[in-house]
Amino acid sequence: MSAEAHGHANHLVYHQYEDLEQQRESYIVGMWSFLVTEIMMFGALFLAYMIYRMQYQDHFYVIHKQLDWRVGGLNTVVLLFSSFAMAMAVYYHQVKQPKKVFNWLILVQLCAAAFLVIKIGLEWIPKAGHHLTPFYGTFEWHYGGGVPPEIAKLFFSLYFAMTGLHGLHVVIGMIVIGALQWMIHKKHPLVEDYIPTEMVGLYWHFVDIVWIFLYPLYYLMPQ
Amino acid sequence: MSATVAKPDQTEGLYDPKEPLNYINVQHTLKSWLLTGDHKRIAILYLIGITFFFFLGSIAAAMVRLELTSPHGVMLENDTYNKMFSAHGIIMIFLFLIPSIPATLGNFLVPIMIGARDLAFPRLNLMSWYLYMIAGAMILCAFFMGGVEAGWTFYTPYSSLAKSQVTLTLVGVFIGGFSSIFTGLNFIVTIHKMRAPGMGWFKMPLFIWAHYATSVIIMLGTPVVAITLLLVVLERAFNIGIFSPDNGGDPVLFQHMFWFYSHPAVYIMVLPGMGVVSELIANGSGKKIFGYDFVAYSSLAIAAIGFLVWGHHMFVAGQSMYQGVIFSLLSFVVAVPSAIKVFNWTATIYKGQVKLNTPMVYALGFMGLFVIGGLTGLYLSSMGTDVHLTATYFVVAHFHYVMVGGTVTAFLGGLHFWWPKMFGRMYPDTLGIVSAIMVFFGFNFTFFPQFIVGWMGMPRRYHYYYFAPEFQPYHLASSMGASFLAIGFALPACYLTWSIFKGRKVGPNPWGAKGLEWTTQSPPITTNFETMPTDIPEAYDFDSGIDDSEYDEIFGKPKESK
Amino acid sequence: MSEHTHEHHITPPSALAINLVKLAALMGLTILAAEVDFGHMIFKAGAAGTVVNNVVAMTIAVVKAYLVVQIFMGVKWATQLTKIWAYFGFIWLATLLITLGDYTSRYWEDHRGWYANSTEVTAFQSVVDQRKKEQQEEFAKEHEAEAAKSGEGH
Repeated sequence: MSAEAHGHANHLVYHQYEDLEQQRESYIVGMWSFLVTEIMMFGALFLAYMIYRMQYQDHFYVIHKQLDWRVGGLNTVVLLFSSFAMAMAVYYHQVKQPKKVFNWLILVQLCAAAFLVIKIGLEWIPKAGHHLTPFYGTFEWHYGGGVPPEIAKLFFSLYFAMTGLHGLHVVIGMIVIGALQWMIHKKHPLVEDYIPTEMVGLYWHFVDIVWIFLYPLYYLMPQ
Repeated sequence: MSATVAKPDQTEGLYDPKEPLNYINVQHTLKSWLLTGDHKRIAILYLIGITFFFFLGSIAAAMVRLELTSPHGVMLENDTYNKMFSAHGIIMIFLFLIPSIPATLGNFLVPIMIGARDLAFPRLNLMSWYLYMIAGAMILCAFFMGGVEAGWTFYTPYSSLAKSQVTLTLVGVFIGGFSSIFTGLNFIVTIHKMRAPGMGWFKMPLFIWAHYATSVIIMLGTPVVAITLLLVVLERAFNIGIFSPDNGGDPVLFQHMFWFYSHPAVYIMVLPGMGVVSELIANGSGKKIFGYDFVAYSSLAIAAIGFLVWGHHMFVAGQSMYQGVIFSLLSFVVAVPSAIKVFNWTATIYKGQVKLNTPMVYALGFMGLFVIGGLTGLYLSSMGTDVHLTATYFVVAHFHYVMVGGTVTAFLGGLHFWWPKMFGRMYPDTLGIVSAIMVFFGFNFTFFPQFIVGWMGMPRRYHYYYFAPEFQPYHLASSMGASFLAIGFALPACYLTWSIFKGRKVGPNPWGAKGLEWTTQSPPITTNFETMPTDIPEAYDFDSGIDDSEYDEIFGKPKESK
Repeated sequence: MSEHTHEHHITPPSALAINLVKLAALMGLTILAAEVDFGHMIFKAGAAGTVVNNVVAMTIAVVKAYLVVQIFMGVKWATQLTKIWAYFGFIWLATLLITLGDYTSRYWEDHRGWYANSTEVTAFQSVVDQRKKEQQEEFAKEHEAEAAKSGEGH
């Protein structure tokens, strides 16, 4: 698939493209098209959340107090900062300083790891201890407030489905960033242009955007 | 009689060293096929895959039809019957109809028609095929491990409680969804960014417009059903119940989210078929298509309005009546762009020089069957009638008219039309016309009785109808028609395969058709064109009087010119 | 075709840092806004509070998302085509909201079947119960008769 065999002036261009600019925009539009599918995918989950929240607002308000807004806030800060670090990595790739790209990506990885540690260690595992996990042990609701246990279970089903899918995206992001770092480290010809980093960056910022909406919806519910 | 004069056809063979280099003979190893980035080779891989799954789905359909010949059933247990119709639906919809035209004809033709060397992302394209095969393998595994009886719609709460292999099937469908997302994504970027210089949006063939609209639907719809089915998997595997009434959930929400994709999915299936038929009608009539802009925009209109009508599947499912009225109205509206297309095709044929060869016979069959399928759709989109007709054989007949009469007919027509381009060889045209007519009549024999028996009240998905033995003649007629239909499908499979090896060799443009794909050699070289096409004519430019075809050599000259 | 028509825009780190500060500030604003009962403040009644608070929280979230899309993801300087695709997905989400129409209008209809205690339902239920009882009795009788028959057979 190397472009060199096809006699292009620029060795970065694949054989099906005319020039680098066309190739770059194709990749960016392609990535955005993929993000459109991600938007619709999370959108359907947000729809489910909206419908149940409209029906059970009073109960959901009581249940949401089991989630600590400070932990969620900490995670928001971590993710916002990781997004910034990612943007910096793209910047340094654009100005062709691969060493700095690599270092900023390490920072992104650390933030992602911190996010997962906070999420799983401070939230999910304690939830399991409080019998608030529908998938582990028996689900029980001990916190009164006139909340029927099945509504609490619905709330936590939604919570784990949405944050779980988001967490899965974080994990996938870490794997992809790791692969990118490895390629940058090996000076792989694929990452000579900055577009791969930019694409991974777009994905990572999207993960951040999802959390921007999840945070107020789950942790800062109004009465 | 010297031995030095070799007969020309003795040297004809697939691996003729004198044959010019093309995408098929450029490399011969299995690895070169399985790791290819060439969109044409991937199209062939897809063609093999979907033919296989079409065959499997047909066997399941045959079992269902056989079972219904008697009011008391013939040979299947109740559960087995449920598994059979579920297998038929799941295989035919997710593994045949949705990838059928886009992944084979679309993959092959989209880059050639717009003058590109390949799709924008060749490796993604290959990955899409692998995901499709993995999805197919998983779904097949599920059938061999006990099958699924939840139907292709997987309605909750049944699908979340059923003891059969629903989880594995759903994961398979989920992966298959990614396969079609990647195909759609590739088409969108390719059509936006890879058009040859001078190939403006309104110079593109209507096939491309249809595929663009299809890709947009795939991008916007598929992720919604993916997450919906994933939630059912979570409900089954991890007890995370979002649709489960035990948890205060609402099963009707599943239907909303499911049909948000699955109604537009109908347009994913039929829009490429419309694109194919636009090509066949224009080229078969030797005329510029009537109202090009209208046909192009109607594809986008179908894609857009198609997203706003999903509620007509839920008129009796507990959906609000007011919402139902709106959905009913919008469902009538979506019939308008489809009707525009049919009118324009008809107007194109009018005073055209119609060449009645195999592709054109299929195209004419498509128009007839699609009109019946579309108009009966209006019966179902008006709420009052739908209450009577919901979940009867009327619905079954309606969507088979659109899916088989529409998509499969268009697929076969397109396959026959572009076959000489794909393999550089022609099949026997008379045999093609015979099988096209068999498909048309066999299809009508199969599904027209179902309209009547459905109107009389035969419910779909029923194993027995001993409560109404008077339905038997209709079911018998239907099953007999299905046998004709099967022969109509088997014939092309035989003579097309034969023609790959033994068919008459043809040049670049056997039909006298217009379009960039007919200017390059058959079969095309790996990069499609020797040099990038730059001087792009208008679409269907028959008025220019340039005829570079070899139509007369192949099919004989028209009578009056003799 | 190998000439570039324009150089790609490079966002300077200072702009990225300013964007991060803005995002952090907006996050603080969300947390503060959650503490205030806007419904009570504006309408002097708690009833509309949920709605107003949600609108405020979601507006801030949309602004934050907009900042991420525009600056971090660079859509502000991207080509027209990228802009269209970037915003198309978010806009198309609105079609999903049609579903809400069903959930809000579902109970407008005077459909007594949906109210458990309506008189028609009770009347219908009694008919069903009566029929069930009869069926059970019939079934028991048949069962007895069959049992007697099989007893005779032996």
